[in-house]
Amino acid sequence: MILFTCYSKNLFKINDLYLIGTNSIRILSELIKKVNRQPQLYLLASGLFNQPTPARIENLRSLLNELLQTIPKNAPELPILMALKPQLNYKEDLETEYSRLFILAFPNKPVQPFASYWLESDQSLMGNSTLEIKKMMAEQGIEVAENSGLLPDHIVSELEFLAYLASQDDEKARQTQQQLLEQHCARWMPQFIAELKQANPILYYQLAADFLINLTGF
Amino acid sequence: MSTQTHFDPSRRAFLGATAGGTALTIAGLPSQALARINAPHDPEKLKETTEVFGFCDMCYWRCGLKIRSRDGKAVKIDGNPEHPNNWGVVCGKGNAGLMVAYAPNRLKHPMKRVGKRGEGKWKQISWDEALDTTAKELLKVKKKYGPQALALIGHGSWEKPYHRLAHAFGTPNTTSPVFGLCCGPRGLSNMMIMGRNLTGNETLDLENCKYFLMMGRNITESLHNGETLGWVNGVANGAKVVYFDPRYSITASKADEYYAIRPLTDHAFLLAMINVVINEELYDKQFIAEYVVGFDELKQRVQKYTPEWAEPITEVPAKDIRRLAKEMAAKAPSVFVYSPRRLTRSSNDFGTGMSITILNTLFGVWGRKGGVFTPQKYKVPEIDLPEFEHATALRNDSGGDFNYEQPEIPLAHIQDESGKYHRADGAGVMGRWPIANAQYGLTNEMWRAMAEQKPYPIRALITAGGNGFLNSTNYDIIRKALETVDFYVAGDVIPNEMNMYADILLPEASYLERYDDLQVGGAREGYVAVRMPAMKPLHDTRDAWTICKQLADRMELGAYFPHDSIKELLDDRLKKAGSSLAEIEKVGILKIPADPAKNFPLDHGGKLKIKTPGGSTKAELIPGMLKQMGYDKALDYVEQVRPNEDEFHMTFGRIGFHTHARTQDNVWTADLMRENVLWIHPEPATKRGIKEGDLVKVTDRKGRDGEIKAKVTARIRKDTIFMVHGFGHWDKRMTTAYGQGVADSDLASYAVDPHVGSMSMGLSLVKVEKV
Repeated sequence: MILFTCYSKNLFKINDLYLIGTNSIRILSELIKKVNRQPQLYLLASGLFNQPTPARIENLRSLLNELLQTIPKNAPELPILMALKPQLNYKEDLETEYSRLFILAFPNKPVQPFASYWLESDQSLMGNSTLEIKKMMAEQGIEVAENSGLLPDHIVSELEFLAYLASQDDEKARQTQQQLLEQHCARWMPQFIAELKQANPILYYQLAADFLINLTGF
Repeated sequence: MSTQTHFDPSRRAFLGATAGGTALTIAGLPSQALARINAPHDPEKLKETTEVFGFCDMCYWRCGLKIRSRDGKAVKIDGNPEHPNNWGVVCGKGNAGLMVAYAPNRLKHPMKRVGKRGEGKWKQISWDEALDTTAKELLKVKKKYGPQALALIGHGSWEKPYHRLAHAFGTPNTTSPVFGLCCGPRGLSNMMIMGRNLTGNETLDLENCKYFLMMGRNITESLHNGETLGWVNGVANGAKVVYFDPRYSITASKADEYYAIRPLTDHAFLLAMINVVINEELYDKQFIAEYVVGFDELKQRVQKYTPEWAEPITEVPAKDIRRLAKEMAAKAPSVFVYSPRRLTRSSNDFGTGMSITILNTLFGVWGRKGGVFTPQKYKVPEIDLPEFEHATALRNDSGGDFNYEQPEIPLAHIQDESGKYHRADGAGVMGRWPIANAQYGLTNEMWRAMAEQKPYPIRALITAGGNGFLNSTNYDIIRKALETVDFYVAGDVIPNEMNMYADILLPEASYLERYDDLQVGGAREGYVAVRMPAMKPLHDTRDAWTICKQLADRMELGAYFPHDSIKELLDDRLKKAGSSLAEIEKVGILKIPADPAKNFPLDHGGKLKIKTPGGSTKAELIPGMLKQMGYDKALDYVEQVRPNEDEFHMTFGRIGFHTHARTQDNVWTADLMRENVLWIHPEPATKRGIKEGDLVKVTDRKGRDGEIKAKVTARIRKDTIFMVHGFGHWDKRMTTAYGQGVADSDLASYAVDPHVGSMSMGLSLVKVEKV
């Protein structure tokens, strides 16, 4: 079983996993070399919705820089990435905004980052939709790290899972990615993004939302 | 709550013999013979579940539970059939407990306040930062003001470690609303007269009772499974029910007789009952002779309280009072005068409570079948701890639940010769509230002490659950208290109006995700029950014991939390009781069997053991200790407020599927009742042009008001309005409860009982007008 530790060990410690000998995750630098930028883009999206700690923002900036070095000039996401670059500087306000938007909003209600909230009739977390994602991950040998504070259907987990799937060559992973996007993410992320925009977020999160729209086509 | 997936019979294809040749047989019949239940079984849904035991946290009765989990997720809550609090039954609230764990609005991460206090600006932080900051701030207060400058207000089955932490810290100022805001006068009455608590899980032999005289004890709506079951069985066994309430509740509808008594006048009715029982010699003469003192004096004192005197006060006909007294006496001792659960209503709740105890005592119900049984205790010693060096002496290190023993001498706090601090709320302090329970304290007075910084500064506050605003009444005092302290840390599962003010928020694991300390209870059986986690915590949360231990370690108080984990603590305690954690986890509960000779000693040639706080070995109808203090005047009737012609008595109460102010944001319970409404009689409603569903404004004499929809019903007195408690939340983080109905707590009176110091919430008089 591969530990899905990207969250708890910081986003870009995938190398560690590779080093500790768990099976098939490729190291980031290998991914970067590939023409397919999808894994990095999903990782970036995942990181943007994760708690913006100083270390994580630093890692995001490195990832963005690497992406900008390899990305073709005509890539559709380039303008958003360029706009994001100056935003990737840690400020406490960023963490306050993150807490306001996704955890304990006041006076507005939080934009719940869990698929289950949007998909279950009673808005419960850990609903069937969560278990479906958990199962999907398990079939790929992935599970959410126990100390991550995340559920499998948290937007960070799902985007990170998409990054993993996009990094795999095999047909099954490709099918899972498609299924996840079309039959699951498409059912809740558009509502999530719409509510995020309504919450009048600071530029960082406006761009994160735009980036997610650009990436998924939702 | 809308249901996305509808039950669709057409989707249930029949499983025939062709389905792998494995036609089901049910009870020996081939499945085709039972077509209706011959559904295709989704193997996913039939996957095995694991089962753990627990006890409920949805109200304060604490039913025993069995919780089933699948794929690491708790999926079903059932009752533990062995648990005497519920015998396998779980109510609507209990079933909705799953939604406490799965609520999207839960507190999920430790948070630090970054804006102004109460403004609602937060930052997610790590547990280390949260605990380091908390320890640092508490120690800062201790250094500057002393340990007594910390107050702890807890509310819930998991508050115990917080009390221990506060006692270890050195403060006497730990409190729980259970006394001052709820059951205080009732518990105290039984304690003073009989030396018994009779609160919490009441030790009533309901099944065998033959006559219930229920003073607003709305047992079918303010329900607890074991208690309600016992009452239903008692009724089924032929008990008569006489019910008193200004409102025709569901319990009223099940009663044989119903009296719409004038609000706040129960005491007058009860005194008249005592008068008749004594003057017509309807009491248990043998019991009085053997076990009771003060009879003659009581007889003198109640002479003026004739049924004819009581009739115009209570609006209960004198002839009925006489008849009820005789009827009860004929069935005694298998009778019971049932107190309301919450006895914080009139300006003399203590007198009301004592009258109830006196009547029950005159009927000789103690230790008798159909009356009050004597509970058994499963002896589970507490762990060995160093003495609480600074906190008040003789303190029982337990708080927040009903099932522990009372301190040996509850009034030991009155005089403190060793120089230790008296409680800031005055509970147990001579010259202030000497008879108030110094273990639970007076939460209402603790808020006041914090707000006014009297009698000495309280500069730090810990809350463990609870909602100071919606469970109390004086919002200005509570707000001021929360704004005044230097540091406020809140531990809870859900956000609410009170913990909005916290400097640090500590998210607690829900009761389905954690161990807690043992439930040690006394029923006919003695028992000890365990709470086990049914799943891992979903979020970045911890259990109360772990939080408190980690705080204690940071404040050099680790000696008070000597175990490495809560599991070790439980195992240690259970081993001292001759069992182990592994053993109790297999069954959920360990019991001493019921023993009729011990439960009902007077029916089996045994004796009743009595020890009152005044040291008497007989029941004191007029407790000597109270006489010394002049507090026996509480026995006398005090005239209650009456509304002007354009006013109403403001009353509030419970409903079967909500608990206090904690369940209104639970989507499952909110689906049953999302908002409260104002009960008003058709006559005053018509006079004001109010129709069913109209929005009305309720205003009290202090100018506090709220807008609520009207329920026009003849099921209430013309001079009284009613609303269900716990609604009217204004914390927007509670997205389901926010803005639904009106907070009765912001309309209830905040006068205090002059003897006990508990609140007299029912004194409020309000006007109602159409909006």
